[in-house]
Amino acid sequence: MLLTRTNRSWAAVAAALLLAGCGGASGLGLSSEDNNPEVLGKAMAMMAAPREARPVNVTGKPLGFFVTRGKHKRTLIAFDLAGKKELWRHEGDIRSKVAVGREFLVYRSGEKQLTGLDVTTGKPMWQKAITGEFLGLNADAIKAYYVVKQATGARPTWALVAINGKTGAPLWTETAHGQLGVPAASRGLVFSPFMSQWLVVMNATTGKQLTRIKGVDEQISFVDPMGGEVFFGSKFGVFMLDKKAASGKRAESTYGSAKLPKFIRGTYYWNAFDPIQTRYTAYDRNRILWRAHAGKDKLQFEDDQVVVHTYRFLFAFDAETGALEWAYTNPREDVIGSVHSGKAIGLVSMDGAIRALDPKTGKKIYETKIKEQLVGASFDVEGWSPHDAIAKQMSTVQALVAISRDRDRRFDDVKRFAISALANLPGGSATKDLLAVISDKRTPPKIYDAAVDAVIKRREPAGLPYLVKALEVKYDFIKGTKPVAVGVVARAIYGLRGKKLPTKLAGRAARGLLMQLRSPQTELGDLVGVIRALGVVGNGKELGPLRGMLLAYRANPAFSEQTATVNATIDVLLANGGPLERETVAYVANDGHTEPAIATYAKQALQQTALAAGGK
Amino acid sequence: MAHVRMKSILGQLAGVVAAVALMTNGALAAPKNKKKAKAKPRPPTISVAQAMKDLGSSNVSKAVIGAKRLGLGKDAKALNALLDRLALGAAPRVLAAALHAVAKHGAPRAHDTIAPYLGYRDSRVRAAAVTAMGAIKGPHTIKPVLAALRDGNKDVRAAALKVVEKRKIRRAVEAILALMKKGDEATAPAFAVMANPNMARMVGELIGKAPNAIVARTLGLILLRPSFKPESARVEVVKALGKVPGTDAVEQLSAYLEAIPEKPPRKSRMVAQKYLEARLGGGQ
Repeated sequence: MLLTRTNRSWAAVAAALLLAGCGGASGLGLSSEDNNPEVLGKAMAMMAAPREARPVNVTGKPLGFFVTRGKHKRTLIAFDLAGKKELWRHEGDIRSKVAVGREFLVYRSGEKQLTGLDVTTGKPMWQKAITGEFLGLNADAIKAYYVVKQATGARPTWALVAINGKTGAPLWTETAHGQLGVPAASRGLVFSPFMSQWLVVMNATTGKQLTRIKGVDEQISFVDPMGGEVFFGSKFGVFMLDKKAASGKRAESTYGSAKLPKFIRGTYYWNAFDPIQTRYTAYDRNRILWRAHAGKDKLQFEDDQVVVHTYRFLFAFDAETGALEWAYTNPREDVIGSVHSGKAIGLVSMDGAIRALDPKTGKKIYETKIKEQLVGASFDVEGWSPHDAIAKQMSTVQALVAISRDRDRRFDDVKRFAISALANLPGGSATKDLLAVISDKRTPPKIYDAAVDAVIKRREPAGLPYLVKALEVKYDFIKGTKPVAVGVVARAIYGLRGKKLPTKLAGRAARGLLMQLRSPQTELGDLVGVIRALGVVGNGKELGPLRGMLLAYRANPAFSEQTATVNATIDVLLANGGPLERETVAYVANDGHTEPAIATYAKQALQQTALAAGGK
Repeated sequence: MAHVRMKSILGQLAGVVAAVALMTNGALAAPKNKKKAKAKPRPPTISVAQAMKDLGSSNVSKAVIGAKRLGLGKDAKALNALLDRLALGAAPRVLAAALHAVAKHGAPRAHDTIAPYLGYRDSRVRAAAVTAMGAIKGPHTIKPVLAALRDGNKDVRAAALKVVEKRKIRRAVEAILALMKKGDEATAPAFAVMANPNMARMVGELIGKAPNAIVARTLGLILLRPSFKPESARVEVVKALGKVPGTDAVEQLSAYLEAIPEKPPRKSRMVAQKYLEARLGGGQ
């Protein structure tokens, strides 16, 4: 017998658990038939028809359940999102996420107790003691399910317990000698992740195991009923529960995995085996929000998109290519709860702001606020589709800039991503924004480096006006002005070689570069970039100043130690100049006052360019 | 010999000479005013030829000595040699010495050779270039000196302030006041030398905004200037000085009392005496 079923009183459940702990009856065992498509098909045939896309709760309204800050006593606020009004408040020692049924909601209250509330009034309906270590709970329309671990005997035992959502009365219990994860229930079946390897499919009424799926090439760490379907999987990807799921293999299943940047910490759903994730924690601030359906031969994310929520920021990515579709930054506070209703991305932030975004555009389509500091949020919002007209919107570029300039030091990887995303955006304003990040003294070194890299790699002629503007800032000790990132700007201009640049603007760039070339405040290391950039936009005007510079500094030991600057000067003179420049370099190469390292380079450069000219 | 060799190279490299025109601007041309040079012969103790030879040496110390010697006279050949050296580059110490020597000549034709060195990366060279530029009379040399007041290096600014002091460049007043606030000591003599009563009042307004030592010294130097009048303005300066906290003001008041005889009696002196007694007596 693979499953032990009980349908007795609570005391009997405890006794059964004790027995199981003593090595008595075995529940979910290691040996069982796995991955039988026929049996899975039969089990799925037992499923009730999918509900229409609307909230589970009896009011039919999209509801948010928000938990306020507090050490022991916290307040649970039920909020009607459609009506933008609070429905009720309930005070309690709330230690888990709430699970919502049709007429009830349930949460873990205190260390060893569950509390059931009337979903319409918030009034307590029942309280039940739990035995063992609480590992998580869930609910369907009429029942609640929770998992506990008993460690009293030689071997620990896990139990999945079904109770009546309105009364708290126990309905059945299944035990196992392996770790059970938080289950999910939908359309008359219960789905229980087991030992990170199996998904056990059970009859919700009886608790009887119907079949199970073994993950062959991927762990099973979550199960998530959504939009009438059931999905399961791991942090790597999502399987859809259909007949093909019986293979247990990605390739043969309706499986999907979004291509995402490396910094993403979020997962497709909470880990069913991590007790911490049953509470409101930082895991709720790092999530991947998605909807999906069966595609031609794989899982198809809705609109080919997943939305990543990481603390205050949301990014929508093309699931196939990983390309950024939009970015959103939440003002000031972390988003502590997020949900995908199918039509909207719901967000609740720590300061009580409630917002919704259009999944397609990232634009705000809903906004309201409750005056509370919140620590957690749960939702019952299936199908919720708000459409407020909100004038104040932030574009993706603005959001990326805001992210990249954010003062919060937790988000360096996100900022680096935002900067790299900016680098790929067309148009000149991204150059301007990146320069602002570079110019900001408070920018952390890693972000600075990323921004420098991005501005150089952009090679975007539309950004030239901003590069020129940066060059036109003159050092002035009295005014306290000084140009910033001259070297970066110069390298960015050098990166535009080969691109068609407006003559007037190129002329301005050359003048700016010459000014920085002549400024003693320009860092020696930056001069190399300035000289090379002059070679690109100088249009001959650079030759005179560069000849002068070569002669003036050829005998300066400081330049002999850092030859790159003089070497670049020689290179540009020989590349862009004529006989006059060659003669100047030849003089520098042969005159005894020239620093030896510079003379050597000048000789080599003359030889190489002579050979190249001969070759031509 | 080095000079001869350099001349020879320059002869061959007509193009190079043209290339460095930015710096030389006639530095290699023969002096136009030969008669004038002959009319005022320099002391025979200076061997221009030897100094020119030294300047062309690869030995930096020797070249520096050569440059210094070439600045001692007004010989056009000496100036030519200096300008040649500057046009073709040298070690920073040599450049600085050459620029100081050029400054002593004060020749307008040195302008274009000096100009690029105003932006030289070695601050010693830059400061020397400011001095050399400031030594050339004419309004066209004021702008670069004023620009040097905004240099990031204190020594360069000090050199510019020295020129301002020497030439009493009033256009520099605003910049000097700003530099006073930033603590540049060289501002005091530069400002004091040209201060009128209104300008003295401006310094008084810097009490608490600029370092006390600089404000006190500026006011003290203004007071010591015989041309600073009228007496009522001196009294105001003394009063302003009396408001400057710290020992610097005491020193300046003492210096004023020492410098001005008791008779004929001067009200500013009496006020200064009163302030000093109050300070030394434990008053304010």
